[in-house]
Amino acid sequence: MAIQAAWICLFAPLAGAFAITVMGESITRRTAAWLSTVSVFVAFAGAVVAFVELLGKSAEEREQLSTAWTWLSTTNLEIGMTLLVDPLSVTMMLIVSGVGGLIVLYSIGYMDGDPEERRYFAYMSFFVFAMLLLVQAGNFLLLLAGWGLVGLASYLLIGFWHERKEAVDAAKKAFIMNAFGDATMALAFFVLIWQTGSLEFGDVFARAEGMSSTLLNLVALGLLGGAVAKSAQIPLHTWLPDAMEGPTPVSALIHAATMVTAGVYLIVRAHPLFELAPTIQDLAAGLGAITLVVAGLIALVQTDIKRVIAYSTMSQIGYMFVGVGLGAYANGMFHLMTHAFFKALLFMAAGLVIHHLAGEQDIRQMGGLRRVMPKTAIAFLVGSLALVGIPPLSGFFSKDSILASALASGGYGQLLFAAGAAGALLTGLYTFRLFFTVFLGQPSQLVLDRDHGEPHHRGEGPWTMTVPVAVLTVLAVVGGWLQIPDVWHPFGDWLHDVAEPLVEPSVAQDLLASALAVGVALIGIGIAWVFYGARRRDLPRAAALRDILEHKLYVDELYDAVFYRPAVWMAGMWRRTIEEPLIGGSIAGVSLGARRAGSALGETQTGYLRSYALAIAGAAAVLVVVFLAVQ
Amino acid sequence: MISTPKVDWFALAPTLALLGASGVALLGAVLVPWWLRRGLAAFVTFGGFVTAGVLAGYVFDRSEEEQELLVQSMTRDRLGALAAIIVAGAGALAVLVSWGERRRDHQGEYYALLAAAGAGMVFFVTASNLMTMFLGLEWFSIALYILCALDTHRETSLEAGLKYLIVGSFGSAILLFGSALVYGATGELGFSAIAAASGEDEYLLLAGLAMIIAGLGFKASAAPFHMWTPDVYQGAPSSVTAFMSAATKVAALVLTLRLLVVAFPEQEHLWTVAVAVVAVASLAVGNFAALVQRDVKRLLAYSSVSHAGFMLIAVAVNTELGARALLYYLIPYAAGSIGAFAVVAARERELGVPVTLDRLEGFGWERPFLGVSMWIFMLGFMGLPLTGGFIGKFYVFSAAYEAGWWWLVIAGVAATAVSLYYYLAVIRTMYMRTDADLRPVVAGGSPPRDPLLAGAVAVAVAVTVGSFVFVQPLIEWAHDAAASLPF
Amino acid sequence: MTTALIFLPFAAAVVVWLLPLPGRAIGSLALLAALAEVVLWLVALFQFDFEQQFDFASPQLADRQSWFSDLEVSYHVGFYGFSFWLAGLAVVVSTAAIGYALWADRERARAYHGLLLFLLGAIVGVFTAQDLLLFYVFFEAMLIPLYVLVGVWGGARRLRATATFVIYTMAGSLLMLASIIAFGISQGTFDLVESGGSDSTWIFLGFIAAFAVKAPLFPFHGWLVDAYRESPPEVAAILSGVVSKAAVYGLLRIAIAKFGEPLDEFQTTILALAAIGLVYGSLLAFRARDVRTVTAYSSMAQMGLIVIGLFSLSEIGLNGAILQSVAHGLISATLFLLAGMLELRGGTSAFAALGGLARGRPALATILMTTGVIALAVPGSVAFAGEFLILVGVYGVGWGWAAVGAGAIVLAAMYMLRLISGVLHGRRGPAATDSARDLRPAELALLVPLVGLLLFLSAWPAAITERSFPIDFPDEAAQAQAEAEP
Repeated sequence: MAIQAAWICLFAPLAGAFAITVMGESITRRTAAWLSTVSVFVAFAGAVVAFVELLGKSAEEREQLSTAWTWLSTTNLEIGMTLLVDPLSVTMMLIVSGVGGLIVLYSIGYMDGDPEERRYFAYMSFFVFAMLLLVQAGNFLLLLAGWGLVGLASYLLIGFWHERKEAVDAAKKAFIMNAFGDATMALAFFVLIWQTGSLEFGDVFARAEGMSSTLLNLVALGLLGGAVAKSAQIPLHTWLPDAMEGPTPVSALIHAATMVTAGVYLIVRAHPLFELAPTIQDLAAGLGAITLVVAGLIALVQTDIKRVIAYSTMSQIGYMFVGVGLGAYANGMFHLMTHAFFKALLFMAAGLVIHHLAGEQDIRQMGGLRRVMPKTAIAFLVGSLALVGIPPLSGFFSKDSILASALASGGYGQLLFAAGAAGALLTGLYTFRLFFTVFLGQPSQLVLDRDHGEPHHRGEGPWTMTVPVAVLTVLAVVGGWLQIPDVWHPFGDWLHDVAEPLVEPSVAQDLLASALAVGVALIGIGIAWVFYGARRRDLPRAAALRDILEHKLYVDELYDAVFYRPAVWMAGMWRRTIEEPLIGGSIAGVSLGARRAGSALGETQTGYLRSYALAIAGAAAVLVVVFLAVQ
Repeated sequence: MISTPKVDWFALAPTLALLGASGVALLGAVLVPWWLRRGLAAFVTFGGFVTAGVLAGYVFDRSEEEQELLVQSMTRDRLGALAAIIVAGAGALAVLVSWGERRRDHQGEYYALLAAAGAGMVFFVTASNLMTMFLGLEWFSIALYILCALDTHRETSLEAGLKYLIVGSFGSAILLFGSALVYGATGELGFSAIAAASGEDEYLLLAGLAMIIAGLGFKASAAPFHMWTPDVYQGAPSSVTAFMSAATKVAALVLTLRLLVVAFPEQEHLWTVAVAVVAVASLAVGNFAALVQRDVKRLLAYSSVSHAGFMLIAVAVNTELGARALLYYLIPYAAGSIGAFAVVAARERELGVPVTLDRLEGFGWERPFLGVSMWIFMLGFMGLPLTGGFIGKFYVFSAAYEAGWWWLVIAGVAATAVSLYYYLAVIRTMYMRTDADLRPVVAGGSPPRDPLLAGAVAVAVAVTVGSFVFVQPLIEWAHDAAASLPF
Repeated sequence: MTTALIFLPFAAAVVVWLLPLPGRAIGSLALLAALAEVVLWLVALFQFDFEQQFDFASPQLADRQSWFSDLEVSYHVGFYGFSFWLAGLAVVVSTAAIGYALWADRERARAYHGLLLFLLGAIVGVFTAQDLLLFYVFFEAMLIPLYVLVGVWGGARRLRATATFVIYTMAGSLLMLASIIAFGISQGTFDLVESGGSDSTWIFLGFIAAFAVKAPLFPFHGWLVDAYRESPPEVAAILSGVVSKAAVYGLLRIAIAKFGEPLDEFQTTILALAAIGLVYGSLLAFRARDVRTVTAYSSMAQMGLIVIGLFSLSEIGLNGAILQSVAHGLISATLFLLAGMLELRGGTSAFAALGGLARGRPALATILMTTGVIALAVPGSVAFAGEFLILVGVYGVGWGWAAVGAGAIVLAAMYMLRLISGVLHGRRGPAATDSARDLRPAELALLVPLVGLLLFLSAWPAAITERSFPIDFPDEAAQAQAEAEP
């Protein structure tokens, strides 16, 4: 039953996407939109059924595999179209289809009037399918398939407005960086196949002990490469900010709530391998820590409302990496869930703003919006507080559980904790910089113009947009209560058997972590208030630093110089020096030589009898002489 | 009282049939009213060739083991018979091709000479004696000299005839001198007798052998004895060229094989190498020279030189498989070259000027049947599959490899690669010029209808393709024919 | 059965040549014949016993007649699992090509369609030949119609293209002819099933030469770009999609199955050439200026990948190679047909002139996008499945090869996305006028089946991998066979 539900959950969105594509013009744009929405909510229903089923079971029998058909097979390798239903995948299914459904619903309002709405909703459904395939996959290859397909969907949606060059370039960039991640994962799988002869999770984990530590490290590194690329962690992070070229709901769904967190899911799913390669697992945590700080810094200088949120996404995923990197899997997943709520909320609230301002995304053009959009302001505030981690909102519980685990895991852990605390400060700072600039203060000129504009632009938006925001606001508040240190921890127990945590923070560590985190966060908010809220001080002039941050540490430029340009140069060089002269020229040269020889022979053909006779006599003479000589 | 030797008239029948036809045609040219001459002569000659072919077929059928006739001046065996069949077939086709030739006078003579040449060749291939060999050689050569020069109103024709006559007699002279030396060395004229007698006083014998090879190489137009070929093939009337290129090669090569194998087994180590070298020379010269030709007949002339090279490979290996390869190769080759020259003749009559490559432009689309046929002949010359040419080359190379002459295989393969270029050039010009870059050709109104020529071409196509499909029967004939040689 | 599959197209070709019908009628007739061929293949599909263990000694649906006995040459045809799929690919792609020719209404339709059918027959023959000489015959017979199709109906520089193409190809296949003779004479038979293995390096290299040109492997690809660019799109589709697979069959059936020591001796060299071709092709595709050239270089790259799979000499790699052959065949056929359709509209497939075509042309956009992403082997696609198996296989030879291959996945993404965007996205180019309309139903009828097959295989690649080499690893089978020979 749970399995059937899982299958429905997986294929409902695909069916939706297929139907919309095939029916094309024959259905109205609105029908297409609802088709897609329904398909995703059907998936959510399936997820819920599966969840309830599993709840009813004892912890041991909560893991169920089901193979529909053999996907790929050779004599000694068989990979099935296999679904795995266990607490971990069900959790992800719920998040993906639930939040996804809300966001698709929201899109109905947001995309209203776009000439290519059908395509948009087909893509959205397809994305949900791909993401569900990723989280439900019963073996590594299928997981990689989902992995690649979400990348594809992300490419399609980032580049949805394909007449804008920036959008198309951003889409390509995202795809190619993720293709790199796919490649490293594939390499890891080659090793696994040759070492363990299988890609089934169970067999691989069971036989992995037998592998040499070098190979294990390689495998873990390969997987980490994929995770880092997909989750936009340093150093493969540069695609995420550009991805904001896509429609805002896309950013909410793919680049905040679901796809970018796939890396976290992968590490949890493959934790036995990572635990056999501790160095790499620590590396994951370290990358997470670096990312969360750097992304926080960069977020400070961004002026595009969506890019600010994008960087904050990077930094929050950094937290999750720290968590799972330290082996606090449940805590990482917990933050993944709450983050899905409040980050989606922030994006969609931002979407309301952008929608209201007819596509304006520059926060310097905004201000005083609370007067015009009070409800949105509240939603945004809730999201911000949750993001910063102010009790009792969801972010508080999840983030602090990670910090506590960091505190609990030795010297390296404490280092990471320090980074996390610094991150908390930055989070408070940039989040409320954004909030204050956009919603407080005097209404900017733009805001006033829009407000006295056409009536249908008044208010906060159609119900299809406001309802999902409302729902997520609630979730952002209560989502964290699933897990309250020392009070109850159903979430942890739920995932306990799938991924047993390596660290158990003590009560003292919990309290200390929470206190510190909240403290620095409040400091951050305070600073933000000083500079942006009350506008008491002007910004310090740190041009150089600002410059570096605005160029995202010049990583783009670095990749451009190291990979792209050499490839272009080499291609051109080969064409000029090998393809055209050698490959192309050789054949011409040969035929020319042949013709030369021909005309040379032609000249011996004088047409004079004497020369013919001479040739014959000469040849005959030669024959005679040779015969006699040889004899 | 002279004791006349017993004469096996049956063995001589093919030759006699052709002689008879020749005679009737000649008489007709004198006695019959002018408007009937052409028809009569052509009909009689055609009949002669067909009869000769059929009779030769009987001879082939009736002579399992060979026997010497007329005091060892001739052999009656399947080798000769098979060669006679091919020659007769070539002749018959040549008659059909000739019919459309617009010739004011010498109608009767033309066909008479054609038949005479055929008779000479049929006689020549059965020769087993230096004397009869030379006799047959001169017999058909002289006929051909005149045929080449027959179109007295065209200087090129006259020139061709003259050149052929002079250079040809030079070649014959060398052959004759060689034969004399061999006789001097062995005191024998019969091939098998020479083989038996050879041994003492090698030097004379070897010199003779060398000269004989040169003389026969001349007839087979193998390099470096080939130089007359392009000029003569180009100048002679196309129908004559068609006959020459096919029949002369058959006769010359078959006899070369017979002579070398039967008469000079002792000197094998020498002549195999010599023939191989000549073969490679022909391949090189023929193919490279052909690359730059513009005149189609000249191009085909060089191609025939290169094919002499391929066939001499089969002679050089000096094995039964080699002989089989040669005899098989001759069949599609003869058909192909008659067909190709026939198509050229058709275009010539259409335009009234010598056919250069440029003047073939668009021909394939104007005259689909002839175009496709030319296609097939070129494929055959290239040795591409779906034509007997391919199987022929395959056999020749196999024979060479089996005899351990792998470098001959390489040479042959390389030569084939080169040859593609000019054979394809023919097809390219016939089909692949767009109307845009088609230069206006001096076309003489609507193409003359010439069913006989078309028929001949059709037969040639049938043989070229059929010899690819039905290899087994042909190769069995070749096998039987080769069996009559002492390997 | 097999014989019928080979000679139905030949017969149809003759009929088409002789029947004096107008263009469209003759085209429809040819299309009918091609569809009949498809049906025939499906019938064979049900007759074929995929349970039977794979063994080069026992081809299925076999058919044998002596051709000429003194050299033991025979007409011997039959199928193995893997070649059956290659034949299926040939049949499907050729049918689409003929359909396209009908749609494009080629002038001199009788000659054109007849040649296409003839080509189909020859290709099926190649994939079924069990006698070396017969293999050569069909191998060359493919060349003849191709030469005319490109030379007569091709683009402006077609003469140069055909000359290069023929000279390259024939140079290779004549060396193969020498090898065939050497092999056959020394074996005493030309029958592939009866003959044993050989250890002669020279003979091996002769065969490799022919297949290296046909595939093509770097640096034997001089003919490739001109041929693919100048030929009519449907011919380019067959050429790159199907004809190149003759090399796959040859390498597998002859080079790998018959040669033990030379194989080990040259494995590294050939792998290296293939890997170079893979990277080289991908990079040149990345800088190419029009759809056709990108597709041309990308199929060079893909063939490199396939050869890598073959010469991994591992069962898994071979499976991958066959799967990838089928996938690549369908992909490049679709892309070339699409390029042709673009040329029908804008007169060019150059990116500079195109762009922005996605707006208002959903069918075109969907088809091109789907094919493109499958072509760049997005995980989960059939092309990905093929590449994955190939690289797994070659990883066993050396991790370096697998690494290069994985890198090529990224390169493939680069050039394919460039192609997609160049046509569909960005600002409209001069050729992307309103007169360049969306795909017509007839065009969709050609493309949708191809794309549908790709999607089906993406959902179930095992359909082929389970049925290409049931059980044994062919090289071992051949070795065992070789030992059996005295």
